[in-house]
Amino acid sequence: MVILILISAAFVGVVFVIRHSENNNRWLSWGGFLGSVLALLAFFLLPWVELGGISAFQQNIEWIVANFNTLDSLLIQLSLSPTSVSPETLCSIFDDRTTYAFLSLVQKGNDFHAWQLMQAAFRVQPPLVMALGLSLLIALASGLVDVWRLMTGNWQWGSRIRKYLPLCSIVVILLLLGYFPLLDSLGAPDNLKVRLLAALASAKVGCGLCWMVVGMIAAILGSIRDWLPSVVLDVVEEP
Amino acid sequence: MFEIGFLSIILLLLWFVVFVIVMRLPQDWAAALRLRLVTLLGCVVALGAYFSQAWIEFNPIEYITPSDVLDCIPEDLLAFIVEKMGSEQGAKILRILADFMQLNGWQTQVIPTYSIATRVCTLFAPVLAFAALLWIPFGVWLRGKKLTAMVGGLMIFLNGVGSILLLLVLPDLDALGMAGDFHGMLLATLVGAHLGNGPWWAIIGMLLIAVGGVVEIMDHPDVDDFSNSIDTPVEEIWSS
Repeated sequence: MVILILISAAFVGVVFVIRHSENNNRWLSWGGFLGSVLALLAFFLLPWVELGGISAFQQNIEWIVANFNTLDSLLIQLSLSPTSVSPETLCSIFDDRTTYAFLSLVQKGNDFHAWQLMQAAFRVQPPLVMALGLSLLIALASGLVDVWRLMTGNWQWGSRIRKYLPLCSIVVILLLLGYFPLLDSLGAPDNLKVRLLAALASAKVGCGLCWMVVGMIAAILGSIRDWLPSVVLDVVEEP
Repeated sequence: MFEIGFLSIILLLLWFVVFVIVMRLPQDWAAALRLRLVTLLGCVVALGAYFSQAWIEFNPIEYITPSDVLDCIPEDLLAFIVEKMGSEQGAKILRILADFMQLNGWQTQVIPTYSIATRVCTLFAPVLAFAALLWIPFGVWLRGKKLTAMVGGLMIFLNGVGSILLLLVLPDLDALGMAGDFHGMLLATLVGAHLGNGPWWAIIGMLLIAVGGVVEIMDHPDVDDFSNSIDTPVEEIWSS
């Protein structure tokens, strides 16, 4: 609901500013810059996957240990192991770099940020990692162009880049939204090991992606000038 | 990701038949209806998504090959689920898991673990699509009136909000309403529960209906061809 209100407010705000401001360029650049900053903050600081904490992880592990015969029969049923399971064979099942990356993050007990998600999903879901990397680059490039414009007052600077960044942003937003419900399993719902680990860590999708999308939409709105120069540039240019 | 169900194919074919007929009719009302084909397409896509596309799929075959889903779940876990949810709810969800390989939009309502908010958000697509479908004849009849423009605005707002809300509850749908709960997630993992393509089609349908809202606002009896509106310079629309 908060996100909805913010999106509506941002949209109404941009329309209002464009119609009433004496210098739309400055406001639009500020809007675009703040959008990029929000996207970057979401990328590095907000939780993209929320974990139940190290205590929940330990409790879940204890439940598994207490019901080891359950896990034993479970793994046999899942055809992961043809014979009875010992702790050693169990370890060997989960012995790969993805599991280590996931577990090392879980053991820290903190929620996943986007850059940690990239680290954990690197081997199981490369397209997700690529989309995350692109979103970071787009937010950075968009923010830098707006900062430069605000500093120099040259509102035409980087117009070509700023014109095509929104197109890339839309593609990346759609890619990321496609992965949105699957983030808690690192974007790989068909990977049993990852899903079991996610269940053990009581993982669920966090709010990071939503805020990143809000930031990127604000950055896209900030580039209206580059798309419709005749509408927005009919203002007094700053000296 | 975007495979289409049988009912959706039938609905899309029906839409195409309507499209061909309406494009050939010379009457005024046909010209108005022609513009609203996008609304009709949105309704068809959203209703097809809700009633025939998979919203939740149970696909343990992706990593196991049992003939019966419940056979692969240990009895201890089943007992724990029944104990935790209560015998009635537990039995209900286990019966669903045993009987279905996928659930359509309306069938997701029988899953007892979804919250009221999630259920309401999944209902936006069919309700708004039905409402838009019923409005189409009135839109043709009352084109250019203030009421039509208001309804158009309402269509844009409700479908936009509905799309965003449905998008926001997708993680909850995917986790069977048990996100963060270890035993629920373990059960969902074992039965290979994951999101189907239905919600995505529903969102596309709602966005098309929102575009239909724009048509309702811009359509006027004097504008007998939508291209006239499209040819209007952006600056003119902006200044007006």
